[in-house]
Amino acid sequence: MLFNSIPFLIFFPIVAGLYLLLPKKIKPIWLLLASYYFYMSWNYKYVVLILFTTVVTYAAGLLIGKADALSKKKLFLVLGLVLNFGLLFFFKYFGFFLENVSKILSVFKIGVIDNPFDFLLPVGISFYTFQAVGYCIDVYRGDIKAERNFIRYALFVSFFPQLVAGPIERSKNLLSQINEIGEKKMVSYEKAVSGFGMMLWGLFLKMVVADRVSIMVDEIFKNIYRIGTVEAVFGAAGFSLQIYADFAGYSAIAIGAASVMGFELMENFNTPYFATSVGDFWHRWHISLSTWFRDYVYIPLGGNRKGKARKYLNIFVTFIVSGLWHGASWSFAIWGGLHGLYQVIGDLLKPAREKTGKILGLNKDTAGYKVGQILLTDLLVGFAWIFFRASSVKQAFSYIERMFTHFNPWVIFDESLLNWGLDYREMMILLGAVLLLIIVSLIRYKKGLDVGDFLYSQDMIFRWAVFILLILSIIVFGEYGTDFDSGKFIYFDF
Amino acid sequence: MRSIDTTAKRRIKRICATSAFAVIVFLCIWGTYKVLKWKDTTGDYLSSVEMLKATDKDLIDVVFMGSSHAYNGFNPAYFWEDKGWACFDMAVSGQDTTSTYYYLKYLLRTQSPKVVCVDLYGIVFERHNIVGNEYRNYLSMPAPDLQVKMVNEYVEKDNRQDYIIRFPIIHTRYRELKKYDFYKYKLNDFVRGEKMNWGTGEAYEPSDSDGDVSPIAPSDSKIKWLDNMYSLSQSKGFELVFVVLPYDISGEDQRKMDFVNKYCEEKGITFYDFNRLRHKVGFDYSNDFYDLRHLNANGAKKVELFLKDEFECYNLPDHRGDERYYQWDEDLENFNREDYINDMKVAEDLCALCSMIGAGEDFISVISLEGDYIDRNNIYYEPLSILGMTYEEYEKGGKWIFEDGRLTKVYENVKGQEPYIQELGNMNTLRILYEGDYLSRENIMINDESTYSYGNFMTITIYDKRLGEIVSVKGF
Repeated sequence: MLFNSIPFLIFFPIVAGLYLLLPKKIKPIWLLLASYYFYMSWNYKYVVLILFTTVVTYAAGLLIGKADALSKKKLFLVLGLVLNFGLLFFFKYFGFFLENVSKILSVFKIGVIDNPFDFLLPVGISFYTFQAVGYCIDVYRGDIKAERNFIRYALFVSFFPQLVAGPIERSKNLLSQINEIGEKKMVSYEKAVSGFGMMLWGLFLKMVVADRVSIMVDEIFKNIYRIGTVEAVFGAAGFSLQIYADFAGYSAIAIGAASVMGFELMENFNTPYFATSVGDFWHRWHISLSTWFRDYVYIPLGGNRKGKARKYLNIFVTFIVSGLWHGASWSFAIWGGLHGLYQVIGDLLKPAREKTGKILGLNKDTAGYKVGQILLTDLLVGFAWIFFRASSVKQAFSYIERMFTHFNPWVIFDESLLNWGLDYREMMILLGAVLLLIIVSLIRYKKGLDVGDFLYSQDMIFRWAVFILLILSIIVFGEYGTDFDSGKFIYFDF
Repeated sequence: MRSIDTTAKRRIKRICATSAFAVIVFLCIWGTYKVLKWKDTTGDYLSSVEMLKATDKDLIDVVFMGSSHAYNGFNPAYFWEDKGWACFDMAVSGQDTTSTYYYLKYLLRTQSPKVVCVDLYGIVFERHNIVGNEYRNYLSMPAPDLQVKMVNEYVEKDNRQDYIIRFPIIHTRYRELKKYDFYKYKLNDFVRGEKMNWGTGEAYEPSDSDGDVSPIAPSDSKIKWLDNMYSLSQSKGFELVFVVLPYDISGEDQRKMDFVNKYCEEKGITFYDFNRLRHKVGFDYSNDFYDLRHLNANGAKKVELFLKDEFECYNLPDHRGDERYYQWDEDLENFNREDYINDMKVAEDLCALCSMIGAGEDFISVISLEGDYIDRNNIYYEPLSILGMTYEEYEKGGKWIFEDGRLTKVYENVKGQEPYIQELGNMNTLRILYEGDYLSRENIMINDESTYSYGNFMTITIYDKRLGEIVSVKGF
């Protein structure tokens, strides 16, 4: 059940409406049932997996909490991690692992190992596994107490707004809110209105922006053999926009849906393309995942406490793992590695950059300098996205090769750019939508308010006008229905 | 106590605001739907459903159903003129059998026809080749319960939801919006469902097959449909008549129709196969068809002459003179007018055309005379004199505007004068101009369209005020 589908349009008001009306004792059970129904609507068989993760981490949490000795705590934690990561490895990485082992073996002419299992990647497995594992680590560290109520814990793992594509919640935030269901007044008019606004904005981003630009991006990546520099740049820029609108759109719907029911999920995006460095980008992009890696990988590896060389290694390892989290493919690993490399090189070159700046008399406080930093960061991030979007490493390198070898500036002027799936009218709609996205991003950047909160702070008439504008834009200009093969959210695949 | 009051007031205020918002959103979506909803953009904006909705209850005596074969072949205006029977064409392009059944059920909710006459072209195809025909049939049904049933019966499972909700299909119409998506369009040149054409096209008399001619059964679903139609006629008490209007039928399709003939004999259903009856009816294949598959107005007349005798047995009443049947009067008037327009279009003789301009109601005609026309032995003068023009006026040349047969404006051939502008209503504007060049295409314009016959000394442009469109541009 996709957020941008008719079933969800029916499902959500029923679930949220009944949730508000039901007695407090029933509320968590109702939400849990709804969450499982939501998950099973993709493939009912995979409910076993989420149940397994829930039971294992619930038990691990209780055992860690009860254990007196640190060694025992560690043992239960490791057991919990091994079982959960083992499951994730089996479903997500086993095929990739075998493929690479086969390649190595074939070098020695030993033979090829066929993958005996042919599974579809269970939806959201990377997300709920990380969320559940994060809980175990939090209990181990003593940051929270182990949850005793199984229903509430199961709801924490499976809470439907963020179940299949995040934000990856922390137990301290979401579990504590689940424990407060019915205890104090969580639901409010303000949250509901703000959440509704977020949901509309998310749908707009997904259906009007992401799915529209994806038509052009898909065309370009499908026809690499005939693209030149300009198309390659447009493709990379288009994908940068697509993945942002897609994923930020999904997160906005998730956060908004939770907000309507009174829950506050963590922020997942904060104007990432206004970042002034790659490091800054990762403070703004998929925040719930980047902070997860920071808290549970980078810092445990030693962070920046063990010298520069170790710091760089830690950054590099964290980003490669982060890349592989997105998908079992070397192109994701390269994408992650590139981001690690950007940061390491950036840090290494910092003294030289500062010196050059001084010589050139650059003033860091000027808007021009900042814009330059933003553009450079977007350029680097956009370049890395090529590996993310390409179907293989080979395809990514072909793409880059054409980008640098087939210089064709005339296509900007002869309108042939309009032959990549988006005609003039569609391009105008896209540009209008992007303009709105820039305005919203600027409000977020300057005022620190997300769409929902900003709209709630406005007059009712203005708010209504924006809501109606968004609703009509989605209905009319959204990419959905018979003529359009509405793509699912990109991050469902991770 | 006070704070409780304030809380309660705030709550009521919010409930009211939310309700008002919901109503506004609904209205906006409804307004958007009205603009985007499926319209017969590829079928001359013809909608029999809309015409039916505009008809008062229990007026229709005979309903004709089917595809374009039906709305070209059955002309209610003929039946009205000759017999005073209230006939109605519940027909659209590519009406399939499922649609026929459900649209008939829809019609029976407000009408009690004595005769339901169904063209059977739908028997020979299982599914639409053109998606537009599917949209026409399945997005136009106004009754939600019937729409759900017909969609479930015909549309593939994965697409049903889109058809029932409609927006998933129609929203992409923003790419093709035209004037009539924002303004209510006239449903048809006629108002009882027919679409008459006067042109003639290539048509062939079906050849009698020399191979196997034994009847072959159509698919099971089509036989089930025949059964359902029969049951419906029994339960609702109307006479069911199956008809095959003439077209270039293949041998295999003819054998299917022969099967239906046998089926009808068994059930006691009246059946007329006009391909088989072609000699008896006397179709002229060079004059009665406007293309291979459709009759023109002449052919429809022959069908009417045949059926009016056959339908005598049903004792249908003569409603002429009954005010409640004003739409049939209007239909006949429209038909006669279309006939008149057709005569104007095909008129080769300038005198005849000028006579029609002088007699026509609700027409604006512009006659333009410029260039070296005097050299042509005054061939233009005699026709213009029919409209009351003097020789001096003729010699000066210019552009004459006739409205409802009367001269309303003379725009002389004087260079440098301001163009003449006349609003024609319905967002159309006439502009005439003299530039001293009879080869200029801009001498007579309606909106941004040239209605000037290039290369001729005389142009006659005729605009129909009722239709709001140009009906003829002729050069002499």
